[in-house]
Amino acid sequence: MKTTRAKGATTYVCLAVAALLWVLPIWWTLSNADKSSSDFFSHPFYDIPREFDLLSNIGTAWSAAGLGTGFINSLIYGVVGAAASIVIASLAAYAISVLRIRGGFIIFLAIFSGTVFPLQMYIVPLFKMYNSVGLYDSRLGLILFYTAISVPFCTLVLRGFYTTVPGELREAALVEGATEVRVLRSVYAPLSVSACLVLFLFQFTWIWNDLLFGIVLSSSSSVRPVMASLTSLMGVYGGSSLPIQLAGALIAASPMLVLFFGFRRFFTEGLSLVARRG
Amino acid sequence: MRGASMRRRRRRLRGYLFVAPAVVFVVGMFWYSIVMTVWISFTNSNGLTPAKFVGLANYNAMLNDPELLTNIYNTLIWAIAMIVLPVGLGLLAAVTVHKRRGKSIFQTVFYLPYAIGFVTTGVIWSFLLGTSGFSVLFQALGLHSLAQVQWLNDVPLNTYSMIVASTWQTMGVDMLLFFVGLDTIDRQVLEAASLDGAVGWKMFRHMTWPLLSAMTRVIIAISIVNALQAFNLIWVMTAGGPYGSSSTFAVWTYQQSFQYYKMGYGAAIAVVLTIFVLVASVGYLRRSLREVRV
Repeated sequence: MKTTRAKGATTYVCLAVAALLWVLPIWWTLSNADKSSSDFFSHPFYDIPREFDLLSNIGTAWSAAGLGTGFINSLIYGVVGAAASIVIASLAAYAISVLRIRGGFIIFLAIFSGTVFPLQMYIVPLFKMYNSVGLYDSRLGLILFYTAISVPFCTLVLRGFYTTVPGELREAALVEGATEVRVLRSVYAPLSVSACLVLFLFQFTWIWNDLLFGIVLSSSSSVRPVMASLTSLMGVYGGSSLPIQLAGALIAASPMLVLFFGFRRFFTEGLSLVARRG
Repeated sequence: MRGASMRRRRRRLRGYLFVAPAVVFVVGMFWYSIVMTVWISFTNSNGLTPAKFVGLANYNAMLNDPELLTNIYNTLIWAIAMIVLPVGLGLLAAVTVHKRRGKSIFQTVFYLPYAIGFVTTGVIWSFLLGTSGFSVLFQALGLHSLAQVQWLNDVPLNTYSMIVASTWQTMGVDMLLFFVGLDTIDRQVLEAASLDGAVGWKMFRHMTWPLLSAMTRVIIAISIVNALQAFNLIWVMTAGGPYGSSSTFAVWTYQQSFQYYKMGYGAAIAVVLTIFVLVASVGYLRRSLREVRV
């Protein structure tokens, strides 16, 4: 009895040490994002800040290197891209698993496997295509890209989900004179709300965290997404104003933190969704 | 009769209209790009002058490029380290924390770095590994030789440092995936085993580990594929430098294509990377396709 209790205590000590190692970088980010530059340069980074400068640093970071614009851009890309891809994917999933169109499985494979290749396979041709059709460095271009990249996974999940909906529901609605679009909208969509929410969070997160396509498909700070702006914030300021960079990092991370703490249940659900994919 | 067949045809047509937007997006952007990248890899495309077909010249040039070995080496190191460290630690954390009091606190703490994203992680760790970060701490602790180390400039330490940052970031998500796996294990099976006297390591070795193996395979497959494409963190922290010493295939493709405008060469690197990824994920893809079909 005594030994198991001692063992339990040792485990907790180890866990606490590990947790401390995981929390310290976050704490140092917060505390240094709060320092004035004179405070930061005259005292070691692990000291506690002497004044409260967090808000003014966040303000400076927001207006520097287009980070604020990037933040708003990414909100637009994330919301529009995730929502549009869910609509497009639900139409496709409905045709494949409910209407059972001929060749549906092949079409599904074509949609699903479009994005299993490494992302580096897409960058050069997309850059050239965007340049030749005038989509390069435009918000529309990025919205179209982010929508497209989210479609395959949404189709995979919704296709699976729609097969679990009993067909009688649709037949009853059709007998009453509903069109297929109507059935999708008023029978299938309401049933898949929580799956769609999980998908929305996942795709929004992916789009928000994207750096590669932001720097490949756009160049001006009025179009670039937030992570591209954050990267150029590091370049502009070099090592000279780390508190501003860290405040910028906090700005870029804030929506993800809000989503994580606000929708924790959905994140775990979403994870099991991804895991079931395998 | 004719009316019925017309209606059927119209209904079929509608089905294809429903899939059309998804197909147009995916085929127009991604399948087009895949075909084009393979084609561009056989040309001397530079984004300025018209491209000419050059056969295997880019692939030959790659074989003779001294950077090839560095990139293969770094890409492999990333792949191996990302399997061993975040997955191993994630498993350890999951098994230790699961069903223990305070689980939700540990879960939040370990997952937090994943929530803040790759680029943000890169900014934070660039600061910690830079001159005003850990070096200052080591100096204060009297560890002068450690304080001299330039974590992001010395080779091969720069790659290892970024792997540490990446482990810090991704361990939590692997832990959560293992939680999902642990939740699906029948509790009665584990209880029966513990009644039979299986505890600690024995319990893990003979019960938990085998029952988790399906989930472990999925996590390892995802980790390999992600690690082979490692870009964001490296791009933010070292941009593959100094002098390409911490570059990986993903960084190399981007650099050749968009910094030196050797798009033909960049495309060839992307094709080789794709072959690596496809070889690494063949078993995983075959399995998931089988499940999708069912």
